[in-house]
Amino acid sequence: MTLTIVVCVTSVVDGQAPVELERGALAVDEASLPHVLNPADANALEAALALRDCRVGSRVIAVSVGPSFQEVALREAIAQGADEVVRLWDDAFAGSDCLGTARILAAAATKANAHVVVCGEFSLDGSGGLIGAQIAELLALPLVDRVATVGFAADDNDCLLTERRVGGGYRVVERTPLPALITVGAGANVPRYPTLRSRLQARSAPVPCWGIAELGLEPALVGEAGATLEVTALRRPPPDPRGLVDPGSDLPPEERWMMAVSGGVRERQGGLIEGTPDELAAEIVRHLKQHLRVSQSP
Amino acid sequence: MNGEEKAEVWVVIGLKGGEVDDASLELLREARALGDRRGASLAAVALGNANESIVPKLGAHGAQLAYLYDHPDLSGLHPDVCLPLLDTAVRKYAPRIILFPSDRTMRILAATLGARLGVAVASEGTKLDIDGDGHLLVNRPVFGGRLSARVTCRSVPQVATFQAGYGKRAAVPCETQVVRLPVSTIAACRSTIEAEVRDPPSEVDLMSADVIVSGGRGVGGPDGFALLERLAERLGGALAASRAAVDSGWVPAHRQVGLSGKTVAPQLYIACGISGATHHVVGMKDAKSVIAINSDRSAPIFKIADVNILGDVGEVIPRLLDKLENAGRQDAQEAFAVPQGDDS
Repeated sequence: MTLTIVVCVTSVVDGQAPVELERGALAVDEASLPHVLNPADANALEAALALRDCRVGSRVIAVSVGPSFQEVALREAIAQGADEVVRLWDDAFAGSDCLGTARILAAAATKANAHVVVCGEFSLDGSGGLIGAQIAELLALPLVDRVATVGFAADDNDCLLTERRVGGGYRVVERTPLPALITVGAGANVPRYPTLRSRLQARSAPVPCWGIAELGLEPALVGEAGATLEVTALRRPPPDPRGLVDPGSDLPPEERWMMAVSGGVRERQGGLIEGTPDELAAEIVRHLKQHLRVSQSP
Repeated sequence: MNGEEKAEVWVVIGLKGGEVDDASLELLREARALGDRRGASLAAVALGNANESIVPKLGAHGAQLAYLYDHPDLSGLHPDVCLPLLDTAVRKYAPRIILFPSDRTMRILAATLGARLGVAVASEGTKLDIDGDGHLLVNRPVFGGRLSARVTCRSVPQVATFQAGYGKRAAVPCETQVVRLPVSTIAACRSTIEAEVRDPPSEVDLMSADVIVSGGRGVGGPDGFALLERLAERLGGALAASRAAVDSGWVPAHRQVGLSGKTVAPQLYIACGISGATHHVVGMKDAKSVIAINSDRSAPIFKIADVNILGDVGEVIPRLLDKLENAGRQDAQEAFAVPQGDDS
């Protein structure tokens, strides 16, 4: 069976670009800002392409919701190796909240008959980290989040085998039947480097657009009409005040500088424990038990 | 069902090691302040090993009501398992506001609950407020934190997640009424866990490690580091080193912590034979707990450690390993290993 893998990508405002905010404005004029492919989406694409390459004849379709600047992400997706791209836009989509966006992406995945949907875990602009889970719920797909590697189970070609780093050096291997949705965190893998040829291809590739009619969406569920979240204020966040611990005047200047730059070093209260090596080891064991029981689940 | 069993504001709380985690308590205090402004009561909803032992803590942080789903299968908070229960409860008790702490599993639960109920979720909130009409106002970072948006939730119910560390409210203790909710049917999880693999300590990602065992010049050489690696393995942690040890060629450079290496903030940092030079300390000062082992009583590391062990690393570590290994494999894993360290 050949697979259709749909990757949801988005263009985000370049992290280096200054975001201008007019007084009283409730939105940023995004079209005037430089955009790049959302970092986690590059990793999501890589996971999708790796999966495609396991199965001859499979294809990767990158989709993105938004006005024309979303083509940045889609062209980058072509350069990386996506077989097809579709921009999802309609005037009726303007003002969508995250659930509205998830509904549009879910409709696109349905229209494309996706066997696997891949999403980046977070976008840099909205940063909700919700879209992937919501698409999974809307399409009733099993969700595997924060995947590090993905492939097919050796004994069952209709199952995905995913690995997730769960912290503390553990990886969990999960088996999930298709169709399924996976999310991939930024930095989970190394995205392939586009070739000059694919870059040139990407520049001139046509980017088709699906609107509300093609996607068969209810106008009341998307865009401003379907939104239940409304931005009612937008401002620069107040600076995060950080207490600076006195670096200590007996230190040489370069060390005081290091401490100040790192935000200060807090001194801790702990008496010196002396004794035989055996007693000392027992003391450490006591602390380990106390500490790990409080902060970790068994 | 009487009317007292209902609450307008819900907080879904996380449990870690049988206790309510700090982020959930912080959110309870915030939610209580919200509820008080509306004259609404606050319920804590717990899924997992949620027995009565957690109730006093919920009361101390302001929960007037506690809904407990006590079943071990729920403790992973997997949406396949927990969402049907939450969905049923929301439809039955009709809360107006449902809040989640913002960590990985809770965020997914909030997102899927929102999608199932057809309401948008205001995620990653840094400030919660409520307006005169009872609409929830959530401040959240956008554009990579360069701007902060205040969003108004106009849905029923209103769902939001709240980031830990932004809560400012003091606790308002109260009596907690307990409602044990039945867990009659458990939905099957569609993905199954095949295996749990552990990376060797020298490959565990330093940035995500919960426990880091780190060594300096005082470790004495590669043999000493072999011991530290065994300790790290026993604790489910990662092996790291100070610049002195890396420069001596005992440990590869990518394990270096400090100004010219990595900056880490694990739950537990065990500094063995590290003097505590500033360029090392700035790389690990944000560790939650620090144990320092050093034979020099004037070592600066002792100023910034919680437990200061005056002794020789080469003598203390072998005995520590003996004690941990004597505790029995099974027992030791229960007491010390750190499976599934969940972050946010």
